[in-house]
Amino acid sequence: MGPFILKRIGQTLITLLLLTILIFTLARLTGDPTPLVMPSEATDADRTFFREQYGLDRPLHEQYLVFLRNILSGDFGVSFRYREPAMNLVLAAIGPTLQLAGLSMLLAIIIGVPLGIAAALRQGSWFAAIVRGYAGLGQAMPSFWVGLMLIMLLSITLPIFPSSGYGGVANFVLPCVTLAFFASASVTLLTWANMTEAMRSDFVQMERVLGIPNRLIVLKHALRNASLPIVTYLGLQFGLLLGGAVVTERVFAWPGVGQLVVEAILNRDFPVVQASVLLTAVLFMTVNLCVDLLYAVLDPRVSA
Amino acid sequence: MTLATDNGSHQAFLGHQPIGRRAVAGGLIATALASGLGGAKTAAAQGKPPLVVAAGTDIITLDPCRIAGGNDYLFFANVFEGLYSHDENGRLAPAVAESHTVSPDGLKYEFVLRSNARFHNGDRVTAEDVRFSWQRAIAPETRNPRASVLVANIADVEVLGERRCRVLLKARDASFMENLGEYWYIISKRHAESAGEAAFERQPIGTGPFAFVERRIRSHIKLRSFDEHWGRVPQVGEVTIKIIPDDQSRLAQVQTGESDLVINIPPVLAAPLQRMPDLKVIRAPSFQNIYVAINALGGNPILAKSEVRRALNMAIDKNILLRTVMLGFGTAQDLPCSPGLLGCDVSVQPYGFQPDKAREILSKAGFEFNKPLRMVGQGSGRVPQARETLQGVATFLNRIGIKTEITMLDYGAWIAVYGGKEKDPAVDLIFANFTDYNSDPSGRLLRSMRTGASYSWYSNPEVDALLAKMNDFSSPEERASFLHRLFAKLHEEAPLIPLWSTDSIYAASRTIKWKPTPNVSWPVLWNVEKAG
Amino acid sequence: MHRETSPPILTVKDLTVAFGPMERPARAVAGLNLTLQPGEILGIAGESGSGKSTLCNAIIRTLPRSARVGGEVRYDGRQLLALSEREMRGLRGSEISMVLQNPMTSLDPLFTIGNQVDEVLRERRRQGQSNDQVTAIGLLRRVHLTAPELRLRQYPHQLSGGMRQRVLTAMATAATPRLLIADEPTTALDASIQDEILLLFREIRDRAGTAIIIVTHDLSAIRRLSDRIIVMYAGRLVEEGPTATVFSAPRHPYTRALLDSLPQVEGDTVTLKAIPGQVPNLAELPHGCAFADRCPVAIARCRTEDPTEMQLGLRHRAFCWLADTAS
Repeated sequence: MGPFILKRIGQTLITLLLLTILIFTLARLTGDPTPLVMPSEATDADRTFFREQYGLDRPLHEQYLVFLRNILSGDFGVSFRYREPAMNLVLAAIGPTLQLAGLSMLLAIIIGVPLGIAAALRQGSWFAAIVRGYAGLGQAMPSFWVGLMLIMLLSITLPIFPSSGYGGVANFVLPCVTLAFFASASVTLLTWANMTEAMRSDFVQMERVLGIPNRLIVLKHALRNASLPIVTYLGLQFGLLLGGAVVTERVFAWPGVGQLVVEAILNRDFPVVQASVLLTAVLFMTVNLCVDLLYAVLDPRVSA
Repeated sequence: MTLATDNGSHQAFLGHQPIGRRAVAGGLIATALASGLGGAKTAAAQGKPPLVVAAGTDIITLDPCRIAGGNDYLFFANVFEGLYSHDENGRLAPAVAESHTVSPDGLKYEFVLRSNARFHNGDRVTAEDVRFSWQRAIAPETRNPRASVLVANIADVEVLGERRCRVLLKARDASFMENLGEYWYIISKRHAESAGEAAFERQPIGTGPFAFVERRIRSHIKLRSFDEHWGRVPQVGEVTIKIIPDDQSRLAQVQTGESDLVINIPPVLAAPLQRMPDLKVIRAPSFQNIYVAINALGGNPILAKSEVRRALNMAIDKNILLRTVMLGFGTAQDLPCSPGLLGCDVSVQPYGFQPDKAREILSKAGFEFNKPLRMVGQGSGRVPQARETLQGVATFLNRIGIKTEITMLDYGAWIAVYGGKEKDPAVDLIFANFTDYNSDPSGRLLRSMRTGASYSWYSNPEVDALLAKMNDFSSPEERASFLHRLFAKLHEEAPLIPLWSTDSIYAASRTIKWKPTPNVSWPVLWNVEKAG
Repeated sequence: MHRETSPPILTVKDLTVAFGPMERPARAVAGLNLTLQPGEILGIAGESGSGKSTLCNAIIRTLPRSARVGGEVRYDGRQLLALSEREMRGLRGSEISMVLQNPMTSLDPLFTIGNQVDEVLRERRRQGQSNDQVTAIGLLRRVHLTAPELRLRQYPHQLSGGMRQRVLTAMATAATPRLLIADEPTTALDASIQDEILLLFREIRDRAGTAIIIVTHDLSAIRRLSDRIIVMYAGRLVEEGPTATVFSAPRHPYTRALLDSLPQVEGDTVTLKAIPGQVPNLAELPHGCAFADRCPVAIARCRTEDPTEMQLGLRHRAFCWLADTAS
């Protein structure tokens, strides 16, 4: 296990290095932040000073080297827009995002896995048709619409939950349901497909023939075998939710990282874009590493 | 490799934070320390109802010398004041000062401060504070990006007594008084010296009707009523401004009762609101102007002719567009100014909607109808209906046979084009929005009409000469008539296609009674009344 | 050994298994009759598609729900086809057991051998079919698995095919079944291991009196193990008899062709004589004998009349119009 982890950490670091180059370049390709930061009353001297202050007038490779050196000492620069250290903004946003992504994934699993198993066991029935319909809707309905509908129904018409904002426990419900609706759709379908396949395996046939109770066949053998690709997928999906729940974050005024990055890109706030992407990447890679480790624990055929 | 003159700049690039700009760890919450507020009773004890406001865009700073755009006034207009500012009718009125005199040559202004003007920490406002406010505003370390407008023109502020000071200008500036309320906020010298940079980053203290309590970036701002205010004591106690970027979600706030007042309602959402029984729609004219700038700099030679530009204006029915695109929430304009702006009350011959005549003029001028006019627009997001507005303009141009090609850009790309140093000759028409902060027109005119100015797509030495003289007046009457002449000239020159000035649209619960200050583009909250 | 006077442990009467649309059913098994004595080893030979596996699944009732089964399967006096699923579950793994085709994939790769054997034992004990005397290690030893303590801790992928087949056999015989069905038990294994597995089955019969049905297309395995053999073609039984008799004097042309198709090795040359043609589409069987199109000695009658049973000697019968003529 030790050399495996070391190898993965090494790979992660190399990937991160390449990512720094990529995000540095892409951010700067979006354009010049000066007109967005400087008000129209600013003089040319003010604009020049701003560009010099943040090194935007230096050649790209020089900017990159300074950027890299600063990162290594923990300095991710200062937000052009808010004039706060960029990483502080990202750290303040990562908490709400992690909470939202984590709870939504949990909800997606709680809904999706049992539904997928049940549908796999009742192929061709009306129940399976309903589950298929649910999964189809979940994948097709855009999350901003789902979010707004939920606000309309469960916040305005029936004043049960707060309509937006980040604060108490009640604030989590609507955004998590919005995200989980989408995520659970794919979890359901994936569980369904994998369970169907697992139930068709030879060892399941053997267990049937041996008279092993159905409960054990489904929940112990088939599920464990089916869960391997699902675990991998969940890791990916969690990573997607980390940075991709932008629309849900916006609709629910959730001060998360997704919204932060989008706003930073629109505002050409390079330090925040860089810090967000790098931190999200680190988180994502950590999640994937954990998933791989989990996979090695679940599947004895993988020599870790 | 050149080093910047200011040591702080180079340091920032290399990764060392400029002195003092270290954030409080964790949470990015700025909170006014209780001890700094010297005995101020909490509003809750007074029994005033709290007010919850939902806004769309967060402010970017708490430092009055770092204001970058009109959105920040959401905070500053309620927490800070200048020597003079604007009353609830939008008219220039004394604020921290109670009176002033000006020398005949227009270079010396003497102010007498109110005896009951206080800072939020209880300190009286003194002339020393006024002088300090100016010093900080122009100090190189401060990097005030808007210093050029007012404070850079001040040669000195003399302290004549505890409540008297004399401001010496370098040059006559007829816009001086009008701009005091937006460009020169009075801050506390004692507080700044004792709290250092934190005074501006974490514990801003002003003289306005509301005092700062707390701010969480991208989340909310909390203010409380300042009961020792000299004259505008709020009717509400604590104000919470929540930042909710999505229009629908923001509107939902007042539908569920989570917020009392919602600002930045786009016209499309306002129309159905008016039918809801438990809400009310409040609208007030703002100084936000929507227009299409014409590239008269020669990239497309035909557009350098003023009759062509006038003809373009004639081709467009602004009233129809206002009704269909903005659902009537605005006031159509023929001049590059909003009603209420100084000098805008000149009477001119309107262009009118005369499409046939427009086509005739264009043909006579040699306009090539087959060559498309290249238009740059702003994608929706910041300015409601920006995209639809430009498309509407293009439609009218198409109707008289002009071909158009539209490129929609996101705000950052748009402003790079619109405000770029070199104006792209491949752009013929460009959508623009500009907000005047008060009734003085000099700011906008200088920045959008003068040759080479940041937002200017026009160059005319005659107009430049007029603009150069625009603020060099002591007599308001003389200046007013000069402005009339200037606007008349601009109307004739037609450097742009003025469309309308928008309305600020608010949604409020029925418990709210409020008349927004006219001719500002931000909510001034001290006169909000809330039942119960 | 078996005694012909004792009642058969398994009687299959007119068994038919059909799939597909009702108008054009594909009969994987058609009108099959056989009996099995206690302790007897019966081999079922035939090509793939002959219906051998379908027959096994029909007996133990693990056919898919879309299968339409007709006829009778009597085990120990009970009508298996009439039992409820619950009652069948009571029989499966305990009295009637089966070892499936592919030992490489018949064990759950994610659990240890010990876990899976214990699971079977627990179920057997729970149903009162076994007791604490029977242990996992004991079972593994009984099938001659080397280092059984180590195997219990290992995962399936760490065992060879032959070892896995032993484990599966151990699991299938944990409660000493009276009928064991082995579906292609040696097909996936090395030639060297095949013998050992076949010997294992014989040992099970000798020790516990378990009747065994071995289904395979490997004729040499059948020859080595079975007492009696039936040959199936296109879902029908075409010949049945004692192994030695059928192998030395096959009476059905198909049986003869099957035996001829065994590779002949003479020195360095290996001759393979394949049977020309293909197994017919079970949904579109021609009139008359199903083998007629491929039969080297078919006569006109074969194409019009379905051959009836012909007794050929001591418990030897075939379904061919030419069965009683000398080859």
